[in-house]
Amino acid sequence: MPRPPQDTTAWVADRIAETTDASSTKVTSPFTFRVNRKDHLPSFEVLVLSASRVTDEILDPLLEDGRSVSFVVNVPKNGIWTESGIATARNHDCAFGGIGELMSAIHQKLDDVSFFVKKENAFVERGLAQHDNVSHFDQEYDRVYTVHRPGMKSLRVVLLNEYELTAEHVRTARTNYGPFDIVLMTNPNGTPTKDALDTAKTLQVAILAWRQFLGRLGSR
Amino acid sequence: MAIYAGVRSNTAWYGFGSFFRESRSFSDIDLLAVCADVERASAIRQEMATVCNEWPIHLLIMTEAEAEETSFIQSQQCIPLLKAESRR
Repeated sequence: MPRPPQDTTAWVADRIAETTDASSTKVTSPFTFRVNRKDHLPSFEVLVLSASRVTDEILDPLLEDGRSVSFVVNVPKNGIWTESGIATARNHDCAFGGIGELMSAIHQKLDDVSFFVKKENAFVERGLAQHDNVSHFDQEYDRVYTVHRPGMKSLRVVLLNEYELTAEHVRTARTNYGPFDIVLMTNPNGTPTKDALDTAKTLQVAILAWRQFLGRLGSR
Repeated sequence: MAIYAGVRSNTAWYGFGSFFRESRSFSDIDLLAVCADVERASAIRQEMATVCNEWPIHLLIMTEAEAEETSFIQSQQCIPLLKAESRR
């Protein structure tokens, strides 16, 4: 039997209340809780989801009821944010992510938490925007970008932030996102295992670190 | 239930990270499953899907070769939770 949403919300609120930068939390509905912060920073509302794929169909009804939500948190660690889910969160001026990202957002002490952007995505998007061989890029999922290059084939790129990148990570990415060209290792200390490299070879996928990726963008 | 299915299939389970170190603050629960091969690793991911969709579980699945190659169990001081059944 699935866990009732109010139990999940209360559980997340308890975890956030334990962090050093939150003074307290208060559950305000089955899907929301309020975070009160230290240092006179404004409190804010969090919407809690448990979805394997966050879409507009899931998010819209929860954000359309007039709540002033600043952050949408999805509990599953492997939950996927689809393009429509990301767009819906942004259209409602909400930041989004998992519990770790919510903790980061609180720790950053932003006056307005809705401006929070995950470091990993911000770094990659800045690098793509500044690259001479990139005309534009589309974010299809939170971890998937299609990179368009003038006069060259577009590249579909999956971001994986694992310290130990395993064969199962590569396979699961393929299952979740369909065919792609590149796994971009966004963890600077990340290393693929031999099995991961073998799996990538079978799937005709390149596993690249950041500098290798920047070089790949310039080649056919 | 899902973990039990893994045990039956010669999978060893470990805990690691802040939750198992009894840290006051944790954002997820880190579990490691070590199994024989990549096919089994994919099956474990599917078997664990329901529980992973309800809890913030960071499930790392390694083949036995990967666990040995990375020395992950030693470096992360993983705590054994369930031993793999001996093979017949």
